[in-house]
Amino acid sequence: MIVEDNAMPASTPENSLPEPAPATRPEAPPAAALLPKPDPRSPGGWRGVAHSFAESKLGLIGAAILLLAVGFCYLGPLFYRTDQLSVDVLNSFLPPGGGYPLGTDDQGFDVLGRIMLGGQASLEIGLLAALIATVIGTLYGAIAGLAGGVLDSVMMRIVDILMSVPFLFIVLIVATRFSSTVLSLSLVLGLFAWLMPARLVRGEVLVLRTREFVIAVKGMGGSRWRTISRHLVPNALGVIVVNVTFQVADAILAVATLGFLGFGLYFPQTDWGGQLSGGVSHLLDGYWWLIYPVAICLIGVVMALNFVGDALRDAVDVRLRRR
Amino acid sequence: MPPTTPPAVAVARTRENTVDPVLEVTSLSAGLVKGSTVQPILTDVNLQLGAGQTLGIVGESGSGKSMTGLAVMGLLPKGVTVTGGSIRFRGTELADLAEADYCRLRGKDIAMVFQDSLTALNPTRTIGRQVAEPAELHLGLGRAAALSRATELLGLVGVPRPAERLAAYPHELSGGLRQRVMIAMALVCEPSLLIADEPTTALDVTIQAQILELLDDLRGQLGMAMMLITHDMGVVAGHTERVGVMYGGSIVETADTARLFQRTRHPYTAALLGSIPRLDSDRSVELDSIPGAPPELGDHRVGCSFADRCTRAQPRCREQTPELDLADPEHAFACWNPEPETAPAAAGPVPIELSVRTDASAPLVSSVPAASSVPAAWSVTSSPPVIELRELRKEYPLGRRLLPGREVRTVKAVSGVSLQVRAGETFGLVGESGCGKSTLGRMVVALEDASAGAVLLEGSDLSRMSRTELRRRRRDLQLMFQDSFDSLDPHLTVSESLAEPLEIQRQGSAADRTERVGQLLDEIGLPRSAASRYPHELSGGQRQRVGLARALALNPKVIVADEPVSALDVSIRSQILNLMRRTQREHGTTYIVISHDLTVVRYIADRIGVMYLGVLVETGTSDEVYDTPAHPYTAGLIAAIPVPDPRVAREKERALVRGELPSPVDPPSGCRFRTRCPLAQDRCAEVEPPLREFGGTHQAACHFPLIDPVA
Repeated sequence: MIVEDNAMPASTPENSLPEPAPATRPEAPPAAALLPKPDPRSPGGWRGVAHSFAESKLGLIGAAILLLAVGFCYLGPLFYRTDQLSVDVLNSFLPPGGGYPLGTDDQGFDVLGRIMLGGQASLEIGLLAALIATVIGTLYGAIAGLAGGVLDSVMMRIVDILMSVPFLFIVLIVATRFSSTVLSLSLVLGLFAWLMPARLVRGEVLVLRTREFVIAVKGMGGSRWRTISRHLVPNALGVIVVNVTFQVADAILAVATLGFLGFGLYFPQTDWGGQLSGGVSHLLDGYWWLIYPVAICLIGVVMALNFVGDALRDAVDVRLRRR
Repeated sequence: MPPTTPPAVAVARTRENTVDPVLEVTSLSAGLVKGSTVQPILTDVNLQLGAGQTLGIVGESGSGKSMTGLAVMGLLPKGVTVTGGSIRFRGTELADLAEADYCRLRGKDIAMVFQDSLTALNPTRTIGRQVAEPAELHLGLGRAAALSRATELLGLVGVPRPAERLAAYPHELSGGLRQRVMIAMALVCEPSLLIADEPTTALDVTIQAQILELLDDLRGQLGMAMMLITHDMGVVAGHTERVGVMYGGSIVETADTARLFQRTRHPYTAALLGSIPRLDSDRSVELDSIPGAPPELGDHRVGCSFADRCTRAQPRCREQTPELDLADPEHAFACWNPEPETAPAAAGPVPIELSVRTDASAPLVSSVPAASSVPAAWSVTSSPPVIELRELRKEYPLGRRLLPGREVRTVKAVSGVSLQVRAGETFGLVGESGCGKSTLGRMVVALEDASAGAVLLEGSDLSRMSRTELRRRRRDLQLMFQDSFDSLDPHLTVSESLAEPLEIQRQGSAADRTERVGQLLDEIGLPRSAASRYPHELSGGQRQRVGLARALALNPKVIVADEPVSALDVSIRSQILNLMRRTQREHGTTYIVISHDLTVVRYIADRIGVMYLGVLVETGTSDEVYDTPAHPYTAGLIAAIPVPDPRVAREKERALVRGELPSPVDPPSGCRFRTRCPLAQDRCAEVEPPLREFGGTHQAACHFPLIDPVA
């Protein structure tokens, strides 16, 4: 916190303040003169969220894993150059060792390099899909929550209907119709994943709308726009940000599922799901290096995202509930 | 026992029972264990409680009073453990009792009544099953026998038609009835110790009086000991034989109730008693107030925990922790420099704070005369009204109308209220929860639209204003909220919150606004450095000051304060009340103060309106209304207020207003109060009584008023 202790009149003992001057300075009541000491571990606002987050060990571990994964996938190829374009059948299924730290796969691609490439696709699709879902969901939910009444009912029934459509089924159909690129996969996943954030944000808006500080703004003559931009959005943002991390994790898993089912990116592009699928078909041949490294990466990243999300959620909650 | 003690019945009983106490807590300490460190929560708590006796534990939030109750129940929250001392219950040591043995004890020999009956009862089970459960568990009764026992108990605690209520779920009952059910549940096995943790805090005064009376009666009938945990000195004065005052996790003073109130020795107890507004306190004098805020639970420091707020503090108080001096078990206190012992005041309705104030050498925060403006405020009768309500009504539809033509039932929150509030005046609005007072307040500041009637601000109708006009005029109408935590945006700093009304109303440049925020902080007694704080970094009292400052920021003509001090600790309330009065004097603001607390309204308001079920039943100056109430409801409300003076409290009549508030969906015909009125006659059901004149400004709507009307 920026407030320094010496900035307040702490030198005067508070109980000596009121005595002498009964009427000269009636505007300086003694009672509240001393602020409680700012807790250095919990400053306000977003800095406070960062501090609370930093107190969560799992959250920090998760963040570290994510940082490592991003560095591995994007910086890795700069230092560890491999050919991920031309098939090399002569060198297929090589066990780890020699020039291949993690061996080679059925097409003779270097597995380590391929995990980096597949990781890029998985992370990109995950992030992009989560952003699309969050933006759509937030807007939709906020509009429903703010509008209320009939419009709210209709909008939320639409969500209910979409929720009951088997997601995978539709995605598979769409994926067979259109060429699978990072962008198209992100769009497809994002367009189906906005339902949860929509519900979440609507609920949050409904709660915030009845909070007294929002009513107070109306009482001051504040406009609707001011209420939304200054009070509703900043207060709902915490929940939204937390949701993004879970959305990313979900999207990475979803894209892995698609890849595993063979509806992922087109060869020679790949993602972690596609790699797993390739590995599983040779599982009985004892080619473990096709499964474990990529699986560990996938599970690790998803787990890390969940850790980060949990820690963020706690941090945001503390801000709202510290009373 | 010294012979000087007045031979009250209660005291005599104490002597008998000290021989064989039901509960004996000796130097009990408890703490929150964090790794290898222990954060103390209770330190050296000593209590004694005899059979048939009631021990009051009073304290503000964070004083450890609830923790003490939970420690005896063996229900301390996770992480908190007993670190020393003993809890002896009828010869059994509880401090290190195994959980299995505790289970046999809890609910059978020791039972607890919680504050919030809605969360303490299981919403998915009928009350019959819940009341019968302890009987099945501990007494080994069969299902049918247990249910009949439950019926018996529900009858005992005053639930009407108990057999029919067995199948009811908790949400189907009113708050007062639920509290009775909880008491029945606690009493099923006839425990020898009942711990009641703030049993009436969530209830209205009229219900509170009934529940406390019930607990007193039951204690006598069943011969059990009771531990009454509360923050209300008035409740303690009227319903306990012995009191322990807690502060910062320890007992700071304990004595017989009569003695504690008459010969208060600990400065905290004295200051607390002085800061409570009372019906008979002099309104022209500011309330005493205790500076600062009580320490939070576990916030431990060297020396006396009250030293920072104490006017009698000496250097020693900050270095050595005073211990409860048990040399005189009749009256023990933990203080290095106690209030001087005074002779017991002569019997009679002499307010206690006089005995405290006679000590002129160390007045507890000077009692500033509240200037001459208070009597003057009432000479403004001739000035035009700032706010005028004309036959104001508000009805909320129940559910949505699906088919046209079908009658929609409505909740009649406000049913035709007319009144005028003049400039510079404070109008107090009192009534039980659900009487429509908050709805009325929100209509005055145009946060709710009236269903019928009009709110006139300086003669112009709020509902006829255009949107932009209304938006501009809102600067004259501000609302101060009850919950200062909810009313301040947690993401905005104090200065951002205070500047917001100025920004919205486009007042001044950014620099002007910063200057104004500084002024406001000076005015409410917060250091300017508070501007960069977030709400959660302030104490409850400080937040409520910020709430007041925000309401003052635009220099409004009218401030509606909805329960401004209800959420605050007793020692903080007087700070805020004094501040509200002080700012009003300086700015000539008109206040409409809404509260369920009659003493608060009595202290702050020049004129008072009493609401019952959406209608104004009595109005007049606060002296007129409190000294000579005309409406039986007003008289009942006044009688129900717990007075922090055992002599007055014990002589009080039993609760005058019985039963509970009828549903505002179908209010009774004629006079709405008739269903609970001891004076009701046939005519009350047929004709709605009009407001009648009782001299001066005094008006009341009653067919059979307690005083004679004028003409």
